[in-house]
Amino acid sequence: MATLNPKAFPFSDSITCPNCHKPITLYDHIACEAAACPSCYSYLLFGTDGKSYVKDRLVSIQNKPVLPIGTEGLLRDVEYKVIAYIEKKEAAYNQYQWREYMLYNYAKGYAFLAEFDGHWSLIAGKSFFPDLEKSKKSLENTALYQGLEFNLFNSYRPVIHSLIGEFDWDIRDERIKAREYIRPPFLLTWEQNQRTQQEDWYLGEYIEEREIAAAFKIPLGNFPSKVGIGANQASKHRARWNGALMISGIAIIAFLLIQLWVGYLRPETVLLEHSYSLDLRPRPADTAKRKSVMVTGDHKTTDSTATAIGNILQDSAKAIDSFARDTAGANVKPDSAGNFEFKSFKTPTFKIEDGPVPLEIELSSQVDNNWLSTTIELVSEKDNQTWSLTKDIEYYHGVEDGESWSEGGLHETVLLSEIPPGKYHVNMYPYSGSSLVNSLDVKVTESVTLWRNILITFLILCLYPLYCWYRARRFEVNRWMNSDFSPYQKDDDE
Amino acid sequence: MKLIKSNIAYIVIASLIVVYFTFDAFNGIAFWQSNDVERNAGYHGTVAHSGYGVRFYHK
Repeated sequence: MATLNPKAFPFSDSITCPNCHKPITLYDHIACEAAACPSCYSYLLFGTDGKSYVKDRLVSIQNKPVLPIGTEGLLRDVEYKVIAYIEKKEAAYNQYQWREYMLYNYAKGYAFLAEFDGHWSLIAGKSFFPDLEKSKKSLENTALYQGLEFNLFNSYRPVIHSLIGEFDWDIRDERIKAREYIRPPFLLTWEQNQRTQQEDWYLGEYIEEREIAAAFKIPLGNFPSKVGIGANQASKHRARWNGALMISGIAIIAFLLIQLWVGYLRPETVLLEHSYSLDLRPRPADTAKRKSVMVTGDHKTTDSTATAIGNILQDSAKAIDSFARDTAGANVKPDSAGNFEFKSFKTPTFKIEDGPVPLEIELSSQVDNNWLSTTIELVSEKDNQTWSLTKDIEYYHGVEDGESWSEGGLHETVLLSEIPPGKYHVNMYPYSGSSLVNSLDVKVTESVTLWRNILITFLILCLYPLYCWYRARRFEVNRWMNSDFSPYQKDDDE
Repeated sequence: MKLIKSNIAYIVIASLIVVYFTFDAFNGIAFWQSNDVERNAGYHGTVAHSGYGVRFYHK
């Protein structure tokens, strides 16, 4: 660790205040052009003969300086001595007051520690950052430094409330117009002296008070408490958001690669694809009626006659059933609920070689302004284990008020999870609101890509980054509430 | 390293999420399978059907 080199500072000197005759310590007497007496607050200027005279009387300082004049410290590898303390405020808004500590390094020049509402920034000019001269303002409330864009946060005219210490220029003679641009934790300040039109740029960085306390060996308890959010205070939420975004991004890419691997090991395979014609099922109620007729005949005739008549009636019933099937949709009546039940059917056997796998059953039927419902039963031929559910295919369309509309579709899919390897078939039990529906296409696919799983994984992995983004945004909104140039102004208004 | 240290908890959680869904992928587990799937342990005999989801199993 570097140690403080007292040779970096010139020898201090002492003068007597022309007003109160108390001693004033000067740390760079040769360069000093102005000073303020810490006892009587006389503002002194030095003539060409080196003698001081009272130019003005200042009001007393409002706050006791956290860093006393003459304090030395090693801050970010640069040795500094505190040579002045200035209390400033905005000309337009007196309630905005801040404090500046002028730090002097013999080799590098001046830097400042500025404190506003307990938030500190270490600020320096072109003697520390020579490329600051290349900084430039843009027309859109931004400034550029080293190719980085800084956003305008504040535009104001600072005025000095009071000060103590020494200066190498007549600081009270300045009329400054300033603009502050931020890119947390950095602060880019543009100043223009209204008298000379000279422009200067300064670069600041947010600094925690514990770092200043350690550098200047000041008790941390002497520092003022933080209020609100500093203009250039780094957002820990933004840092978290960046981290969470990167981690979630890596996790999503890893998960996608795993999915591709699973897809390579177990590709989607169509196990069954067939179109089945639908035949209407005879209604149990009709058969019962016919049997009733047979029984009635049995009471009225001899056994042989009854047998003969029974056979005739049975043949007649079969003929009626056959006719009913052949004329399905024309003469067949629906059941009491108004639905037509079709004959159930069974698909051929198919085999799942490797598992467990997700199984998709796709159903298609040419329903037209109607519906088809079917109970689907996947049956394991090894142990008769079943997976059953009911699925509806509905498709309605028409024209209303000159506009065509449609709802539903001709296809439906069923997804079954975790189906073990083995031989299977599917039992179908279709029924419909119309007897005109005449076919049902069935397609069974194994190892289908589980897009919902992928989507859910994405959503879950996005939750924490979204939360961090929301917190980071709230932080920025609150930060910019202190600015007249908030990009969130519209949001606030809403 | 700083990124890892400051986000170690989330790295563990994100890894667990990926592992969990990788397990699902290898075991064919659909997070959302079709609604109302009724799984039966197995039966023996023929199947009759009255329609509308009601089934009778005859031994």
